[in-house]
Amino acid sequence: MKTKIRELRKLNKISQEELALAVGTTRQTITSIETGKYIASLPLAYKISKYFGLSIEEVFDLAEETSVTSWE
Amino acid sequence: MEKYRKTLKQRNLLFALLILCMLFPPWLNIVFNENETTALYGFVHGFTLGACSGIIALSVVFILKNIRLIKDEQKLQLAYNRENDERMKLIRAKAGMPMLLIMSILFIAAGLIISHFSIYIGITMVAMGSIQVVAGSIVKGVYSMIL
Repeated sequence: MKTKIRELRKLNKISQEELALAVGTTRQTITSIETGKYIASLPLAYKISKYFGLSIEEVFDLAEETSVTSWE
Repeated sequence: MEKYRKTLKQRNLLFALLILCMLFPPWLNIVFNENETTALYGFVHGFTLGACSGIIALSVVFILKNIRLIKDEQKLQLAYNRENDERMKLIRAKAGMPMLLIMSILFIAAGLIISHFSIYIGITMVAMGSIQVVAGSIVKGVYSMIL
């Protein structure tokens, strides 16, 4: 899953360690999320989005991962 | 953080208890196999002594590490994050931890006890427990690279 975390970090001059400490996770997890190897859980995605003051959809690109067929 | 600090203090007590428990197994060899001088019994005695010494040394290291963490707020936060990291929890779950580790320790402990009655069965169990630990570590390493 693509994310804009790396760009947001560079924009705000924040390191992976600082972001990890702020949202309660490790630097390795932040790296895995940025490279798309690991998909963050909803609580973690929410914490990261809230840290940057954005919504989850603005930080995480869910278009590729989710395709919803309307029940109608 | 206060709750985690309390958890670390409780762990220190458990480690201290473990150190006390590890003082007894080497004496079992003397009680059970006083007259045995073959190489296999020598191996069992040496393995027991080595394992118990290693566990005591590791317990002392963990106690000192926990004391340092309790005193430093930032290190405590980092340790808490590392322990409760969701990605690591997933990797541990996929590698079968902690059940695999518990079963391996039980195998090795049972093997050391049984070796006093049947040396070949005891050594086989110790070997199985050791291989299980190594296999679990390898799987954990592989998943750490994938995720």
